[in-house]
Amino acid sequence: MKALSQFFTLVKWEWLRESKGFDTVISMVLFAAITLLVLSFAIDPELVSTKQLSFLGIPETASTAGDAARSDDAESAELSAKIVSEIRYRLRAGILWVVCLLAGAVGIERAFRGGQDEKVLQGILVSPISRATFYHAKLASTFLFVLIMEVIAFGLFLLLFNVSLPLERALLALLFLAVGSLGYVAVGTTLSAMMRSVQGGEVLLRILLFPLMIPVFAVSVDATALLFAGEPVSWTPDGPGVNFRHLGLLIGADLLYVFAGQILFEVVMAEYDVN
Amino acid sequence: MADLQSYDDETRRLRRVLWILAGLLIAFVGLRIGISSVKNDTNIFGEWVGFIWSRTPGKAILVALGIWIILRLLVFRPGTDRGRDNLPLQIGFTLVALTGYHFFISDVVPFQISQIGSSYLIFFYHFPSALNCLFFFTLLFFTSIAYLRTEDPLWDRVSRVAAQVGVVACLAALATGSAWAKSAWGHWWVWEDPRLITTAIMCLTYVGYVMLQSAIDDDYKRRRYCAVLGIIAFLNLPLVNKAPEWFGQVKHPVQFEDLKSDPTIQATRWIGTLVFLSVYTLIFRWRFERESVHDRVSQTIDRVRRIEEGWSAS
Repeated sequence: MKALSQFFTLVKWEWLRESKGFDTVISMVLFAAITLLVLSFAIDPELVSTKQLSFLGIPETASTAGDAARSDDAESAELSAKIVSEIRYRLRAGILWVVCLLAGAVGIERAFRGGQDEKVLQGILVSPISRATFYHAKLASTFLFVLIMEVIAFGLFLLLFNVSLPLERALLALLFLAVGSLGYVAVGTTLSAMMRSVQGGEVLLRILLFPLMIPVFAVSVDATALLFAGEPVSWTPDGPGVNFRHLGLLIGADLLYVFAGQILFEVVMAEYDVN
Repeated sequence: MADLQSYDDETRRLRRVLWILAGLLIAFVGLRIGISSVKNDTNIFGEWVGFIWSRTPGKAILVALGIWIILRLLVFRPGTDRGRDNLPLQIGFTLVALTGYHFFISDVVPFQISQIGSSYLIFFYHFPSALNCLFFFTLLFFTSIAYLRTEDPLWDRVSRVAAQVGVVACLAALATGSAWAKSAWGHWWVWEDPRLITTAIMCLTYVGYVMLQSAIDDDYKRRRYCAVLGIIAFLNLPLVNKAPEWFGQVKHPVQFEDLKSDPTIQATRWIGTLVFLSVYTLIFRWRFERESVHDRVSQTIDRVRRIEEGWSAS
């Protein structure tokens, strides 16, 4: 109970500190917006069309030849349309996740750097607050900031890339964004605590963090692409479209990362232990 | 004095065993050449190896013998003179074993298999490297835990060197894999193979580990942080191993039936793993010596600096 109240106090303190100028959130959002804009110039998902597939030998539309050939062609035209839509939605989902990863790294890096005095950190660490509570509070506050950024970036993304989603699908996509980035922030918080006093730590943080996030990233992009494509949503492990296996894998990965992150954070912070 | 005596005895015994093993290997090679020159038939030895390998006791005996050789004779004892003493022995053993292994590849295994032809022969370099890279990264994981538990700098040094050797092995596996992909699929890099991607990512993670080792000046912090990273990075390893099953598209050649079913190929690739373990252990020993010297020098410099600071303060 005491740990819980300490946790909320710490989160509230972080929030108060952040709400003075919303430095972290604003820098993350700006970074995300600029990346989105640059990407919208560089990559146009609509450029992928059935025309390009016809170069590969897949017919663009059904021909008017004999019956058997027509049904064959119709089938492959359907297939090519499906491939095109899949590529388009996968591109969009990939863009969204890349932006969230890159911008999230900005916030994670500032969890222990941005304006955080080393003495404040020492003060918290010598207070009776346990390391685990401190870690979870830090994780929660960073996650909150990243989540705010993701909501804004998601809105911008929908605008810039002309994705029209029904509300419940948008909320589901946001749920996947949140669940996916929880594990990301969990590992990131520990790494950020490690890198706070390392020279060139910002770059190293990214180099070490991004590879670790590949499993989460792959599953989330897959699920988000299916959501954008309008595939059915089912809450069973083996259903068609977006199913519970996606969410289950993400939640499992999150639990693993939070657990490992907490233990290793205590190890990282042990340098302040009084021997 | 008693220690020295037993140490000498043991060394002599080890040398004797090693000479016997080397002699056996040379005898095998000679026998094989003799047989092939007389009978002009290339697969007798292969059938013989396959016969032994396809029976469980034979497999167990071969693997146990190999592991025993590696662990009992070749793996050095860090920080003792004995480790330095058996270095020539290991070099000799590695050379003989590599020669024997090439003989296995050239003569014992079938020259080509269905589906992929003779380009599969590069797997006998690819598979041992990949497995050894996993071995060294696993070693790094356990030594990281050991460091956090005991705070003995030895474990940090071992994990530092294990990361370096593992990265080398990983690069070797990636290079041989790419070469095979070029010949089989026509491209050096194939994005459809999840294991290729996850292996490259794992390689990058450990390159990051090596970078972190050199980025922090404070020794205490460096050891702690690197141990933490060694544990976190290990979380990726099951992914690398299971990637072909988890991400639907299986393109990695683990699926070819001939690779799985032929006992000669099985035996050869596991023997190759042991041979390459010996090779990479050699690199490990070389790096370990260098790192030990480096650590000792930097400790001495630190001590001198502290003494000088003490003088100037007083």
